[in-house]
Amino acid sequence: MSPHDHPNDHPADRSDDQHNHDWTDEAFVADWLARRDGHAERRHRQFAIVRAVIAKRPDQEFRYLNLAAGPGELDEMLLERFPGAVATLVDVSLPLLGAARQRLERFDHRVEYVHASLATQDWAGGVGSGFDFAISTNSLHHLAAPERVGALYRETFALLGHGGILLNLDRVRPEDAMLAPLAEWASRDPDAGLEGASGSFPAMLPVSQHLTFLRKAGFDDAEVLWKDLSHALLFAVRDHFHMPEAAHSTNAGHSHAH
Amino acid sequence: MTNPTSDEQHSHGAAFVGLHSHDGGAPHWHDEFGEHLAEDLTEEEFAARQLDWRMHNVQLVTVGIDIGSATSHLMFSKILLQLVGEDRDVHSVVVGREILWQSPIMMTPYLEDGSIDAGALRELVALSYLAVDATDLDIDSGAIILTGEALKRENARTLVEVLATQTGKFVCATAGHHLEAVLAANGSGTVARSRRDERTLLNVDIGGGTTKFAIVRDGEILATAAVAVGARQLVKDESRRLLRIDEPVRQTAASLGIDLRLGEVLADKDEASIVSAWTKVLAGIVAGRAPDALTRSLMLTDPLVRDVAPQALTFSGGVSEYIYSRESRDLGDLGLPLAAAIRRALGNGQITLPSIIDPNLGIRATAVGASLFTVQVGINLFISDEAMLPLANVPVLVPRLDASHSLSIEAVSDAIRDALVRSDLEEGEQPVALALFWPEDEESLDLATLARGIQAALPRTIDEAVPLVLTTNLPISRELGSMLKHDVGIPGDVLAVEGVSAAEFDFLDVAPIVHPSEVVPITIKSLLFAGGLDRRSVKLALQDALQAQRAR
Repeated sequence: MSPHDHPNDHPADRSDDQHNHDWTDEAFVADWLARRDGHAERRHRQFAIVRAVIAKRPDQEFRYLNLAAGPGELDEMLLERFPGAVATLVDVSLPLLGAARQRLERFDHRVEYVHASLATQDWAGGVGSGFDFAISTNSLHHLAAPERVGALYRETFALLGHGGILLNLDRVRPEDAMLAPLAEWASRDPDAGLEGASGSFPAMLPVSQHLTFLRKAGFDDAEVLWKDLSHALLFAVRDHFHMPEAAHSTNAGHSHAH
Repeated sequence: MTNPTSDEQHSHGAAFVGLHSHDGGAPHWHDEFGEHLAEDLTEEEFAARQLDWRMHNVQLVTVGIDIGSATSHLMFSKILLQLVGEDRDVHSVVVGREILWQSPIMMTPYLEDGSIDAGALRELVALSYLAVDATDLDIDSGAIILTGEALKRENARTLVEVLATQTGKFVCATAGHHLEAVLAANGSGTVARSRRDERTLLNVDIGGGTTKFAIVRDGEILATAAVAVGARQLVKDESRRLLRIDEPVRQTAASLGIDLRLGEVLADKDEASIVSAWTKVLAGIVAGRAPDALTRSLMLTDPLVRDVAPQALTFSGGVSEYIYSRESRDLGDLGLPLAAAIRRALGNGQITLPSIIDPNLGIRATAVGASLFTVQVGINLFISDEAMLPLANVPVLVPRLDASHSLSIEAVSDAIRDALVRSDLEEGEQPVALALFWPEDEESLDLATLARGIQAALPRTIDEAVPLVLTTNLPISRELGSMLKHDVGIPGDVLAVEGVSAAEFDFLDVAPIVHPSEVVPITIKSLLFAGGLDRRSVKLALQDALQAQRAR
């Protein structure tokens, strides 16, 4: 399998055109989705890690943005777990957004869909602001250049509210290029469940570069919450991080929407 | 949309505060009084709160029927208006909309001679009423919007006769290009979304005959335009033989060297060229490029004014159903191929703006917009006798009062008479509504002079005790109404209201007072026309229809 053709990934912009990926084509997208099914277990585990670090009680209301959301699998997990969540899905592919709409139909008005490429800053005009979370999974390494990742972090920072959190689960490369073959080697042991073939993508960065970009974008705290040989979950918070009150605590009043 | 930053900021304590605001935000009620039923209230407190809620909240059931070139449909909606502000500064805002029922999308039926089959449409309306078990008594107001083919003279007359008079509360508003663009922007949710997100959005409503554009900044529509690009301009049979060719598509084809002829087969490549050319026209308007020759020839209005650059697109109208893959049937027109070309343009960067996918209101945007747009509530009433309501089809006169000079009785009287002439009306023949607009504050307006001027301009209305309606932009309605009735002593009934925005050539339907909020729902029938149908001819059609109804 070509590293550019890994079915766990989908692009954040149109930069995959040179690999004959037509994300406007229903048939291509249907085929891509079918091939993706073979990796469902690993993907589900990654998404569960993302879900686990969302510090919200099920009864809390919050809004999140999913950048390069693809067919909405992560969103299905989040909207199920958090009945107070409202999602805005951004993707460059109308067929993928169509697949997401089908998958998320039962969540009705809790989901908004925006068709946009993350290749330029224009995408930000299509979504609201004041989000509680901005999330991206397995996508930003497809951007055309490392600098674009840094710019995207800045654009996302501006759309987050006070205490807003960015979560980017993405392919990363080792700090030392000499270690790159180690992932491939380690993936041969099926018991470890590690993914090899991290390949080479224009914006596949070491975690240190991500952390630098995040801090330059204005985030106060930037951390690596989880990592294996090929992927990392990056976490950054605007202003200050707030943990929710424990689920058993009660409030004399009641929360409501405006 | 919620955006809590902390629980505490958005919580009530034990005491419910009625109309309230948070952190300096807009004053509001909660959607339903029932939200607070869990609180520990005595029966008296509960009753008092219910009354308080009912005094500040008005629910109206409206019907929107959109009859377009290609498709028609009907929708029942419930609109919740809330009265906010205090004393003389009360105004109404639409705070909620609920779709109660919507009909399936049906193809607008045509007879063999090319005219619209009014009988089939009547059946749609009747079946829709049956489906929701509604009678016109349940409906506060309704709007029939005629667009495209339905606007043509004979069709409009027939439809007005069949539909507008079927129930007394219906409006027949035939939309012009600009109004259609406004309705679609409202109905698609673009206006609400723009206000909520503080974004500048461009709604592109692609219908059967035309495409309408509306630029909306922070909920305010800044500019509208229309171009003759529409799916139903060309219709083929199953073997691709051409059954219908409208002039704009013929013109587009000619510019590409393609000669369209009825009965001949349309080649795939020619169809692709036509929709590609149209997509380029739409992309150019979206991007704000200087119009090319084809765009100039297809524009139905002045070019879209783009003082503010849009940040994102929304699509509505029938073709949006294909763009967003909610519809895939080939209806023998250009809907499917045009949408495919637009999807490609969105995918390949020919159209670069982000596009927001609407919540299932694409093809229904106009009908939803109609039901929202046409209903307003009159507040701070003066009414001499509640029995004067309801009133239907009251023509609106807008006297041009000159605020740069001190007001005289003659000046007021002349301004009203000029308005009567412009509207081709004889005063006294029917009730009229004077829409009084004074650009300065109320201190600079001599109400006694205004009242005497009205008296001088409408002698027959006054002598024959014909009801008189006044709308004012300033908080003077109670004082002016009282002055006319009691000081001037006119014998007929008088209704004076604030909070209603109506324009010359509009007609008003005024419903009975809603208690205990003491407001009157007023439906505005905006007769703005295009496509060869002037205001006067539709007004005459409406009057003919009403006479025919009375005769029956």
